[in-house]
Amino acid sequence: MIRLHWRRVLPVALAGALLLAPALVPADDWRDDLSLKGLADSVVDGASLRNQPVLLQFWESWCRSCGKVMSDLDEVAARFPSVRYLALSTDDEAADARRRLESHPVFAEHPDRFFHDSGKRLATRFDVAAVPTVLVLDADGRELLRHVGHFNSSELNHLVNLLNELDSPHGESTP
Amino acid sequence: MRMILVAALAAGASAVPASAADYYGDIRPVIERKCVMCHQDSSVSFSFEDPEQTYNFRQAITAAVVARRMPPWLAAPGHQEYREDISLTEAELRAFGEWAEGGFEKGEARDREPAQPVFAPFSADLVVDIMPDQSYLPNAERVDDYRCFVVDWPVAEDAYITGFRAVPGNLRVTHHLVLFAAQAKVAERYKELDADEAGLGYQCFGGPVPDRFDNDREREAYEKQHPDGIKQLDSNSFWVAQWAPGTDGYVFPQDTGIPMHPGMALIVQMHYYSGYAAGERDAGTQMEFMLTEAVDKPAFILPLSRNEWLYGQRNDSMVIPAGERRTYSSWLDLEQLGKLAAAMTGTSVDGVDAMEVHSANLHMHSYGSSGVISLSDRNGLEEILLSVPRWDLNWQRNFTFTSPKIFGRDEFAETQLRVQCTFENPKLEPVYGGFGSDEEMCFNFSYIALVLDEGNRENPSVSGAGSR
Repeated sequence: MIRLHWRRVLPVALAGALLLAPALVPADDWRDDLSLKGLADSVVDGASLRNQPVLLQFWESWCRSCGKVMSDLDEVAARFPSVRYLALSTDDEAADARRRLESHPVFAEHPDRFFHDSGKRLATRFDVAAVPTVLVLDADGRELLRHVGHFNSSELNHLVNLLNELDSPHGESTP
Repeated sequence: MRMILVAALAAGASAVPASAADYYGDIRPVIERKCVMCHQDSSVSFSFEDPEQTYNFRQAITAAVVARRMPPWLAAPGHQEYREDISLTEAELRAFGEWAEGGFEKGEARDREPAQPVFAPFSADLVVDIMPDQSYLPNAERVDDYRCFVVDWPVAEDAYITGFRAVPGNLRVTHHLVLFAAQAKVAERYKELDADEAGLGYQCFGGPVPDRFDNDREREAYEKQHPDGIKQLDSNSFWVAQWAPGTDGYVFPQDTGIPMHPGMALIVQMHYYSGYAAGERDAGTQMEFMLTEAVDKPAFILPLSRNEWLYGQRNDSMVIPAGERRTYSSWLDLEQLGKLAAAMTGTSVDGVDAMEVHSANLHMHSYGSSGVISLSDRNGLEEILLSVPRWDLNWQRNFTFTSPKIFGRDEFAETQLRVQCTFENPKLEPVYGGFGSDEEMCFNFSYIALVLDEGNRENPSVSGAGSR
């Protein structure tokens, strides 16, 4: 049963494209008043995500390519420990997400990475209209990259290069 | 909405104001023709069978369509016309853009027959079960389970395959199927390899050769027992047909067929979405064949690659360094391809009056980024047969031209078929050419039919003794 009820068609119309967003620091920070409940036992709040780049993956339990993206990003995330990787289920019911994760090997290793975006709050905040959608946000909360769909090698390489810049102590986020 | 319009313009659409495009009038017929054959209740993805429920996905559908992610069609437009092309035309794409611009008008449901998918009618002469009276539970510890099953070719006389359809045993877990045929001389060896591996079938990512030969010890042990044995397995098996979600039965080009002989074996490579569909069992996939006793033009799916690439780590012939991009290409003239094909018909290339190139099919693994297959003539002029600007392992398929490229004997030596593959390696370690899932390949498979001269046509001694 599909439970996607997205409200608007938004910039993800360029699904699959890798986009660099304007270099404006958002007036409202996505981390303000944020509290995410983990699909295991963890909880994360917005304050703990400040001053670090974040890799956000939106997914749903029915979505097969979302699982493939989790595996791809698992390998990438291991190389960039300073980048926080959060996999956010936008399922209506967290129980559906948990059931789906039972068979996913990445969940077994990193249960504290998986959260439920209750009420699709962040999905709405970031205008996510389809899953899987992956965002890279810099330490100031600016969206540096948006990718919809699964990755091919070239797109994954692009992501790695961007995270490498963010991870490097001398690197600068691409405006 | 602005971004949708930008995407439509980038795809070549003209800047038109929002019009009265609506779901039932303009969009639903496109979905019925080009989407519903995959998006079914019984299939791997969510269903578009119910028109009202489909409308709920309007935004996600439009996003995927405008980006040309869906329907999945790797070929860049503008080079060739292909049969059973499920990609959206510019007019169809424009309709989606206008529909979104106009606020996703629903319109009125209309009393009409559903639009028919783009596939040709198919009528089977032979049905083969790939696991008679058994079932297979894909290995859920792997994200993707590539499993090969070996089946005897059951026809007691020489025959030609002229059409193919697969009926997967469980669409919820089946990603694709590739059918290979093994010549009689290696059929028993494949059956032994199948029997030696625990469970039904054996692991096989890169083709019919088992994955376990990635392991040096396994490979050396086998080659000690069968000198040059892996090369023999590889060179005496060939791609026959394929199935992926969204493809129905398909008929090979008119007056052509792939010759098969008693004693051959079928090797069916199944790709299961095992990691994403735990517990889903293949209850028995079937294959259906159209057959005939004789054809005017015997045909083969001929591979174009370089053998040394399959041993890239040993000979450095194919290496993609960590974090880098590399392009590899290979080519053969039609004289060389004709010799391979003619040998498979028991004739020589001198007995071939003309060759017809009917298709192109790029094959790489997960490090593939883009690729081009082309023909060049004696003047060096190049014709693109297939350009894949964004490679996607999940959606590889055979691209058959609406009209074949026909070459007379005097053109064979100066006409080259070329494949070019570009790879990118996002990992920390180099990637090498090879058979394994974490190694790379660069292949083109073209369906090539031979127009034999009169003497050979009367006596088509189809020996099956070819090698590549």
